[in-house]
Amino acid sequence: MQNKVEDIFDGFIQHKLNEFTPEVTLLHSSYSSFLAERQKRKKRRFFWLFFTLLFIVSLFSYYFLSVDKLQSDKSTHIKSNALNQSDSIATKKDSNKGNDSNIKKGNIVKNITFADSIHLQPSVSPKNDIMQDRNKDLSNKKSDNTNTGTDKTTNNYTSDSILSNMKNRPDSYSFNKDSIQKKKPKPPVDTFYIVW
Amino acid sequence: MEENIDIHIKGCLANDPKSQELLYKYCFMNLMKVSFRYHTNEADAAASFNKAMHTVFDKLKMYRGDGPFLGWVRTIVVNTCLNELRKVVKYPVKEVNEDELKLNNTLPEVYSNISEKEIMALVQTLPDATRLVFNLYVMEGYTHIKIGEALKISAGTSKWQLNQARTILKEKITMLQIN
Repeated sequence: MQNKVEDIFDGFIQHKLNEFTPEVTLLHSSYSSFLAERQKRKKRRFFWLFFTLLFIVSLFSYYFLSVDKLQSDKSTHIKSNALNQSDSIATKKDSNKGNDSNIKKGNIVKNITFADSIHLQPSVSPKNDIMQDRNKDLSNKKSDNTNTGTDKTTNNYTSDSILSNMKNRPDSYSFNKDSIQKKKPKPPVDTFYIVW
Repeated sequence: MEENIDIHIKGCLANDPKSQELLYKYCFMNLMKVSFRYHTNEADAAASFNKAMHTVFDKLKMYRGDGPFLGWVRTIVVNTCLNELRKVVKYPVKEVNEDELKLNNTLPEVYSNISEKEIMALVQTLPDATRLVFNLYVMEGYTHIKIGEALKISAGTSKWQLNQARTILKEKITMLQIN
């Protein structure tokens, strides 16, 4: 009985509420506000899409620019290596012609190195290092000459002494590996330099 | 209008403003009362209905035409109202008392001369939680378990809220009759 009364009451309320119709004036005001809100939403969506697109494009452009920069860095790096190699090859060609005039007459032959004994990294300028070593050696020798002044035979660098020192060398070239090897312990296998 | 609803839906999908206007008015005349039942004033009801209609127009592509179009829109309107009220409404945890149920056994035939506007106004005067449970149970046909799941309350609390709504409505209807 209790449930039946409740059901009838609920049905009555349901029926009355379903019959309710809103006023037409409310429809017009509601529709105009709906249209205004829709325009706002469209604008908001457009801006949101625009900024999202902008963000994605900037992300991609940044990525590609950084890749290009890396590639250009690599190419310049490779170019510099190639330049060094071509220089060294050219000097080797000159040296292989048999022109050994620079060995004679007071010219100091510092280093001529070949593939098995070359340990240079391309990023470091090898000529500068060798020049520094040479200057260092020369200054040491000079200082030895000036300071002691007794043992001149051992420190006498004339052309005869150079020639006599080079008698037992097979190709009349002096090999000084130590200064290079000390600085560059892990060389690339295939590269080589000829350093004057 | 009901016969041309498919044409208007297609027009809305093609961004035809005339079709959009007609579809909005059709939905308003049939479903604005749903939003009215959940809210206490016209402005809130209209705002909630408009929000639901934005969802309808945005998701119109998803309507497959399996069921009636108004039923689909009605579900969206009810869910929008529920989502808005869920943030606001607090539910006192109370269990239904069997003695309270037996207090109001008046048959509603005596209320038959009350208009639908008066009934709507009375429903809108109910407390938020009570009104919400009453609408879901009586108008949407939810069970107490389903209401409990939807509003995150127990079935006992839902029953208590429903009984409270009936009691308040009966009292107010009786007072209207007397006046």
